[in-house]
Amino acid sequence: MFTGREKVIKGVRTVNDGVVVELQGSFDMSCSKDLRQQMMDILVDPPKTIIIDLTEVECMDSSGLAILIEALKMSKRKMCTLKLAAMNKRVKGVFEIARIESLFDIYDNVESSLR
Amino acid sequence: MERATERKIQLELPACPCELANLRAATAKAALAAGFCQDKVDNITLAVTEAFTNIIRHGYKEKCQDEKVILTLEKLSEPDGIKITMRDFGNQVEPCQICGRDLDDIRPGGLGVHIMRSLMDLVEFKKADSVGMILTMIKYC
Repeated sequence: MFTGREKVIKGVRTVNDGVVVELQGSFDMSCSKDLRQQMMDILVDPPKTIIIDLTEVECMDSSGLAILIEALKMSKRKMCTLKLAAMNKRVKGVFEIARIESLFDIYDNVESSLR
Repeated sequence: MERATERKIQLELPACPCELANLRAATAKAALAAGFCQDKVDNITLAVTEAFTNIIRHGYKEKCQDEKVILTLEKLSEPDGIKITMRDFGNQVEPCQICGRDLDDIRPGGLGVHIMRSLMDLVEFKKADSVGMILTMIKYC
């Protein structure tokens, strides 16, 4: 179980013409400032594609959602494609309540997001 | 600090984001004990997470050193459910001014109250007598 004190970004790896940002743990206010800063750092000079891998994200709240919305807006301004992959049922539920699933490119897993 | 009876548990938590994991664990345990399925437990836990985050952000303006939130989790019967009360000692606001933003206005932030109202059967804000707010949320099984 995650305690909330781990780094939310587990790793960043290069793939094809983009990067995969692997997140882990709970995506909430306890990590949102650090994560926002790291996302904005990536988006200063972004690759063509950014894939957010949510495989190991246990849960997310509106603080996490806010960062993704901000990252999406910034990526569009920079002509970068932001994709979300492998969200569990809890995380998907937050998108559904906020009614913003249609804003994002969402994939079942990282492999399908690479095609 | 924790006080508990068979039906009710009360926790005094520092108003700090690092307490969110503890808050979720306590809420999930109480919701399971009240008879909710895992999906509903997740929803109740998310609503409480949003409420706690709002208290830190708006009640205490993120200056929460030495500030606290008193969380009460109470099992209800006939009808079965859970009653959650969160008492803070931060800024007061008129309850009628607490509302979620228009979902068509796509921007970061402002979704917490909308999520709470979507997931719970009752969400009620009240000004406390002297300082702070009292939030009551109820979910029925």
